[in-house]
Amino acid sequence: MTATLPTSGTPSELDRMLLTWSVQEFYSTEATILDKRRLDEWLALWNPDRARYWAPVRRTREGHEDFTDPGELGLFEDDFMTLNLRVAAMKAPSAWAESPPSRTRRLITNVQAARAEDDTVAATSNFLVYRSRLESIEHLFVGRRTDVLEPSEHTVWRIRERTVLLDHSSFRTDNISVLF
Amino acid sequence: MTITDELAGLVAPAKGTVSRQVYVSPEIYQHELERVFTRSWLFLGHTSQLRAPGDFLTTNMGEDPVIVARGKDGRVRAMLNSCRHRGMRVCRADEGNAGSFRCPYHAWTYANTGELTGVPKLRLGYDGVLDRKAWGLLEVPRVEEYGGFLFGNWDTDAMPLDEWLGDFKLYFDLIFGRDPDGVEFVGGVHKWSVASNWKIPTENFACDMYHVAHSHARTVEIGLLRTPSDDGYEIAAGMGYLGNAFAQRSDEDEPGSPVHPLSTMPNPYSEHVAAQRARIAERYSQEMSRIVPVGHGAVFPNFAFLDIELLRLVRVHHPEGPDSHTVYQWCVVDASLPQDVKDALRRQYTMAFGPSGVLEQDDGENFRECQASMRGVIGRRLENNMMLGLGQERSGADVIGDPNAPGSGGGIWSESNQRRFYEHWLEYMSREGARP
Repeated sequence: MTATLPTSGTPSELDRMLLTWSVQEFYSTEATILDKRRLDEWLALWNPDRARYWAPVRRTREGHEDFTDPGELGLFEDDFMTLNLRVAAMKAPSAWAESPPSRTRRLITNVQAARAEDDTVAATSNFLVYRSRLESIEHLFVGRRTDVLEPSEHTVWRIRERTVLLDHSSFRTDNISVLF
Repeated sequence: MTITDELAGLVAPAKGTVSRQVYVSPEIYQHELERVFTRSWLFLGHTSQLRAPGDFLTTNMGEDPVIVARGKDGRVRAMLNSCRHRGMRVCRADEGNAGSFRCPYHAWTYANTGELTGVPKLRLGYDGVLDRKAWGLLEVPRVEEYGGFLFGNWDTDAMPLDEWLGDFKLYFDLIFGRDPDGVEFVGGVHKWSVASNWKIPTENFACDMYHVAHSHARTVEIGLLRTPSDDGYEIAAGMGYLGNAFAQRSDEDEPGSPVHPLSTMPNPYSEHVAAQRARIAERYSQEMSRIVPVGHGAVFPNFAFLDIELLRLVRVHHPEGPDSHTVYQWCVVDASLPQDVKDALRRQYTMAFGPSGVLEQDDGENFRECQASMRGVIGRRLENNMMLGLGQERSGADVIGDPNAPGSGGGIWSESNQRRFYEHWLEYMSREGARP
């Protein structure tokens, strides 16, 4: 007996399902690339001319949003040039913070995607990055990403802008030597 | 006989040895909280963070949480962040503006000057006779400022901050006062913990030029920095320490090119540093201008800074048990720089020396693994080696080549500053009587 596919989806619902599915696939592929440290492949997922990678600092305040504004400190404030520098630094022979390399596992969930008028897609996702280091050091990085994705010939999507909201105010992780 | 009775035997700056017990012993750590952290000038914040009455920030002095607030009377105070009734932390925000702090537990309320202004059921429960003046937030008795930098001290008899910095003030001015408008703190604080004793990063900043070539080799491998030359300095003066490779002489600067031999990349700050150095050469001497930007440094016990062409930062290593510390770190910029230069410096700071920075990452790894290998019962019996440049100490005047350069130290390959740090540490640890 064959399963019956849902038939109640409207064309717009089906379009959204497909869109979400393709963004989820893209994020799963990206997570694998980062977990396997194929960092040049990760760079190729970015728009080299417009890349913007921004992670504000979280802080505790009464009656205000709890992250820093552009112009204040970020945990990352990169364009394509400095993303390349970061990747070069991670691949360098003397990258002691990641030598021997950490074991990382990225879980990307709660993906939602919506088309914008200019052919781009606004996508949000939650992440959990687990890092196991040396014998038994364990660190967790948890947060939410907001991306602007654009269609790409080779990789279906590529990243134009990414805002990473890490949920930590003070990190208990010795450093932040992983990418999100 | 306890371990703290033998302090002088544990630390031998003149021989260049330090027992690993000072990093791992809970008893020594407790002693430090009592004897160092209640009697030293501890960095609290900067006046640019507290411009308006009611502006406040929260930080720690040792392990004690404090609120630093500009009161409605315009005065900056530091107060223990602990309700006098049952100890609840009365302010749980990192920063903000508030006229008063209301304890979440029983609603005792304190003005931003620390005065107890509100006590529920004062008439019914306390017959209206509770002495509210006696039950205000505990105020840090001494808060003093140098160049906008606010420091607090629990010891009412402590020497003034001005005297504490002493001869270091000249160098402090070269770091933070070389712009006519001083420095401002970029909004936001980087906070992270490293599983190491607080003295390990402080020694590193105070200053360990020796680690740069190897620990940070990847910055050379990717072309961000150059390997330090052998030509540089390390100086301790007052309660401060600093050191770096010498910069080129100002008259050799070309517009737009980096002024410091560690730097490779074009940097919009370079022309401003060159101009600042020209003014320093005029006011002090060519020789003195060679130490700007001044590199790493620290002020006893746990305030540190980094001043390189790429970025400038200040930080505190808050102690958190013998084997952990939390860093609070700020990016600072000269106040009169154009906004685009300030923006570039902030981005360069984040890329290089925030918790995700390509230099800072490796330091965290080193600090944690030093602690991990010294913790064992055998590992802690050894002494650490601080003999670099032992016997090569010279006056600051000789090191820099300017008769008015205060302090003493050595060349770039020296641990004279770390030895000086442990002289200061031993002096405070050996002194009887805890404050307040």
